Amino acid sequence: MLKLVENRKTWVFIGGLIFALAVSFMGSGLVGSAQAKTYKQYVASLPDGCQPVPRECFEQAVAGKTFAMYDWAAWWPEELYKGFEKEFGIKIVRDNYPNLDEALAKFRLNPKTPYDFWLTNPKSVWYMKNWKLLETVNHDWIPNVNRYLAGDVKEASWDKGYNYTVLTTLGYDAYVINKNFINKDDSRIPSWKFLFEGWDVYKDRLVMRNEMNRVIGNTLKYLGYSLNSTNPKELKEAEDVLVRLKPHIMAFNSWPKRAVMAGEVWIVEGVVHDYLSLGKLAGPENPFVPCYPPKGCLLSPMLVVMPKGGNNPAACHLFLNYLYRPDNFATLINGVAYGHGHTGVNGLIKEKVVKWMTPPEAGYREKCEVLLPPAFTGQGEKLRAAIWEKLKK
Amino acid sequence: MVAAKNDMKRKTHLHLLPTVGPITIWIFFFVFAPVAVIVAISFFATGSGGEILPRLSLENYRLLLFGGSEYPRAVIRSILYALVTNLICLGIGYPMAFWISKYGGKFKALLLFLVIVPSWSCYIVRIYALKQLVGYPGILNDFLLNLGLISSPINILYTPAAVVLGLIYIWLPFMVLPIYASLEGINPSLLEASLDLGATPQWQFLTITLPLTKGGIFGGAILTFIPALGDWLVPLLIGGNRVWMAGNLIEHYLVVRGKIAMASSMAVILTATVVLLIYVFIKLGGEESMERIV
Repeated sequence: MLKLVENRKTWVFIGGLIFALAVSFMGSGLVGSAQAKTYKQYVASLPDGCQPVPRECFEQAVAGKTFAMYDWAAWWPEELYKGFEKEFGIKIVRDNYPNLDEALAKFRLNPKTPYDFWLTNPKSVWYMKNWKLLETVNHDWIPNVNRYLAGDVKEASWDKGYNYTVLTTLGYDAYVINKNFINKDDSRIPSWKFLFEGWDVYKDRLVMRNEMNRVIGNTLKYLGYSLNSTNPKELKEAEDVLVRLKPHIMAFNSWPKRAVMAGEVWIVEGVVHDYLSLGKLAGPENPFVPCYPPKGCLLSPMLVVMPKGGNNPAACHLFLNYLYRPDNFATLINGVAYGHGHTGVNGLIKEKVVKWMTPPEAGYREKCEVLLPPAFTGQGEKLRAAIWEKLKK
Repeated sequence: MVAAKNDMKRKTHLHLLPTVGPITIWIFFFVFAPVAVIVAISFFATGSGGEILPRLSLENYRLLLFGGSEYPRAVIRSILYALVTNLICLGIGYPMAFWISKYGGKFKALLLFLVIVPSWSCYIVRIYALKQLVGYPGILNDFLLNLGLISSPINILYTPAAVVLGLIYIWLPFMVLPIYASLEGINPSLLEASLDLGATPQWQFLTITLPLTKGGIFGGAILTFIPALGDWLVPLLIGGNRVWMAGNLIEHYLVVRGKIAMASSMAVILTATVVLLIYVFIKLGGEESMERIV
């Protein structure tokens, strides 16, 4: 050992290694700063139809140096993050959650969790608003959102006037069948009747989401009730349906990607777009057929909020304005193939993605519902939890 | 004289400090302190939104134990799963350890290595390996179908049996090792003496080998029982989340329902159950069972 320490070459090697590590570490902290634009360059570089954030927002965001995001892993295209870092020289520090309930639990345990951006759902928004943990959106700092966000979305039930949230994508929580195993011309498809009664066809190869509000909500939809019902009689009916269905449910899993791809699962309840986007991995012909039940289904909006613990809310505004540029929003939709509320992007979506998205017919959204507080608070939550616990016996 | 004795004692303790000090600090901060926090939270009341209210109460325990909650049933179910796992692990693990000890010869080290090596890989990787093995499409089903032994794939995954299979697969090495250590610790002259006195191999096993490996059996039982009881990933990933064990219900209360204080009470009840059962195991297995665990 002593010999080794005395050896000059070893010391040179160790020194070189430390130097290389230090240089690479410093380099990682200076993401894109060399290419970062000044405010003037930023304004000049914007494509037609896009507006810049005010100088005040830009300068605050850039001065903050980092932007802490909390979102899903491996969902949005990476080029969106890289493009933002490159354009503004702000380093994105990402953290990911396995599900939104777990993310909410994080804020429940530490209200000052320092994220500038959180991609979440209306349930979390309701709780966070109640706990007074959300920053309000400065509309003057997001001109592209103001311009391109659809009017009906601006007044949506989860946040009228979009004072706390900005919508990114809209998912339809219905079901998908694999046409290699199930005849897509079955007369019960695409109604809920097939999912809740068609086990003679799908041979118990059904996977339901592992989320009580969504599963019970869609069961209520099948029965013709509101998915936010708090009526004990209606919920009891939903319980009976689920108990009857349980022997035919292979598993409760919110993202059974492997099993779906392997053909282990023939029918799956969940956000249809997630499975449609798996189609591109499945071969030349997409085997997954989206089923939008005529009675409607659960609508899953993904919303950006700014938790109060964040250190750089200006960066979040800058990012939202950047995201709502039609070219960037098209990158998002071309990557995830979800529904959305952007009015200036449709011409930019690739033809194959439009085909692959298979959106529901016009006006379908009106038949759908978003989870509202009666479903996940008070008596509604208690009754749903009791059903769910009985189901997992 | 007394002063000298005290000085000696202090010296002995000081001598221990560098060796047991760091681990004591570690255990204090990362085992006892979190458990203390959980116990403390469990006595706070829960608000309507799941928030912890600054009011001490036994309400959580009352609701869980006497309020018609599903939790006691989930704990009993978990105990049953863990016991079945234990018994099957013993049924497989004892003969395996016995065979390695008695007939392993120069391959003993290699055979033990093969027993241990799966546990070197990540827990989740092992679960997914099992899914590949028994799922459909999967190695087992494909094999049986190709041989013509079955006409359609068997549904093994996502059943209560799959949960037990998963628990056995994960925890079996922890049963084999203590039993093997016990078997290796038996003085061979005792076995020779029994044969000299006319014992048959079966009688020798029942009257000498088995009683002398009691510590290893109970040590292995503790090592497999505790993690199997608190497991929630195996029911989630292999059981398809169709049947909950106590750990899944705790996760449901903590994460989905956001009732942190209630979930803490559940964790305290489960921990108390485990401690009680370990006490029973140690009482039955004697001090040697603890030695085998160590």
